[in-house]
Amino acid sequence: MKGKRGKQVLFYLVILVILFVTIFPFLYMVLGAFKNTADIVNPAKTFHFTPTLKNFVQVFEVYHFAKPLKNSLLISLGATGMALIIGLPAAYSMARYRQSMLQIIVLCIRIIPSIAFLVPVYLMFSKVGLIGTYTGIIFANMLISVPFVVWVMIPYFESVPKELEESALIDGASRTRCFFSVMLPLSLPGIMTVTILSFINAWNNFMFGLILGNAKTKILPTVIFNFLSHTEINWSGLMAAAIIVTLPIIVLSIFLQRYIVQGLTAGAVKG
Amino acid sequence: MRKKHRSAAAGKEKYLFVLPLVIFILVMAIYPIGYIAKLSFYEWSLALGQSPKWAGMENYVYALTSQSFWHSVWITLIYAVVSVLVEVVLGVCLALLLAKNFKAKNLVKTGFILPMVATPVAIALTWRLMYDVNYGIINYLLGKLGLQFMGISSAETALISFIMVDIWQWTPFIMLMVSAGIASLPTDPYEAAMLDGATKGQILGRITLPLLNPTILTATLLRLIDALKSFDIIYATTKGGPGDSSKTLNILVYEEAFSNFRFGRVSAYVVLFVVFILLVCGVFMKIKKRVEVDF
Repeated sequence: MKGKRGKQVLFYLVILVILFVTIFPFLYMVLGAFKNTADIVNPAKTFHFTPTLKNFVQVFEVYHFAKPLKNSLLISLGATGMALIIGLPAAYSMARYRQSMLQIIVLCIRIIPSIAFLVPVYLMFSKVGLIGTYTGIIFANMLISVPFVVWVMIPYFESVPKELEESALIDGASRTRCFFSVMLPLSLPGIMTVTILSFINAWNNFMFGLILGNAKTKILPTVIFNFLSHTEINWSGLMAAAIIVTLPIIVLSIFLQRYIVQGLTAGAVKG
Repeated sequence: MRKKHRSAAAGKEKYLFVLPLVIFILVMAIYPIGYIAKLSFYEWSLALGQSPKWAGMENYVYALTSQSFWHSVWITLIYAVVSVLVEVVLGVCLALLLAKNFKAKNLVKTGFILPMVATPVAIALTWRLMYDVNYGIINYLLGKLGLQFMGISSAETALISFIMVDIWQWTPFIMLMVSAGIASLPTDPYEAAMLDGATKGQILGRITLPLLNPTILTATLLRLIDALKSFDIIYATTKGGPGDSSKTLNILVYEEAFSNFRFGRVSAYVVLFVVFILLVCGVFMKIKKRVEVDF
């Protein structure tokens, strides 16, 4: 009995250590964001310091984060919405008719690095005036979100029993009707999963904004990156900025953990 | 008559449902790849304001004989292989450790997904401060032991520092994938093994791990694909430096295209990069198939 208890204590201790390592950088970020400039460059004051809110004020007033925040939100929502509009019907069709050629192409897009598309897309977009537009950045983000939606949703649609769909068809519903009123409602958890992860991926994406954005369409990851090119780094301001950028994602993750785990591990079992 | 009508409509829908996707793929993927493949045979530097000039295989010859290209191939391979190997070993151990039900399991899981979902640029900044030689916590603690770690500010330690960040960020991914695999394991082999009086070690080595093998390999492949493309954290901190000590292929391509504007040469780089990734994945999938047959 005693040995069992000891084992359990050890188990929780190990977990605590691992969790601490995982969480520590976030803790460090939060602590840094509430420090003043003198304290953040003094590692002896990692945990003991007088907190201040001025960094957060500064992020908005000096570094004008409101506009990029709006841009990031708009682009992420746009890319997610478009990916669902294009991806859901396509995934349904691929699940039903086994369009394997198309499936392979989608898989290849998932494997090929974004930069391979971005170099030619940059040249194409400069010809048609899409550089620095929301549309341009949304289209680029769809290179990630569309294959993701298709890839995750095909097995979801496959797992909906065919009988449900057939009975709707016999009742005289068209395939389109059937898709909207049978398949989509039945796959709601899957749709939640792809929606959340597409949003997160678009929100976090750095490269597309870096290449295709301009002063008017700056997104959050590119504006914090700009902090770094300054010769003297305002570390505490930076940490506050980093928090503002990741906070929405962290909050989403805490409340919607189940869906995120599902999306991240899609394909784990089926392979 | 009515039936015929319906099947014709169904046939049409088969194409209608995928039509937007096909158009998207044609415009944003197939045309661009074709375009860049064509450009790779031209000499074209946007900085000099020239127009594309036929160059035959020149760009490829340049890439394949240039030291900087092979250096980046090497850096990319080391980064991806070392990170993913460590992540797989740690991730599988963690998944096995956390397989049983315990209090606060959900809390632990939430903690584990944070490194994966947090914005990479924000993570990059935090690690940069943590690694900082003068201000960072890592060197502060090491300093107490009389040690120093140059982190990303030295060419010798930059790559390993980035690998450590990758391991911190993505080990949970392997863990979650393997956990999902563990959750779907069949129960019969275990019952049989129990009846036969198998030890814990035997059950792990002869039943659990072989059954988990496909999941582990899938997770490894997914991780490998992404590790070969790594860009955000490295670019946001050192831009591939100091020197070119952390210049992955992705960063090399970005630089040639958007700092040097050598679009002809970079197109050859891109084609080779894509071939390289498809090759690594292909080799891996072959190995995966062989290993799966063995079990």
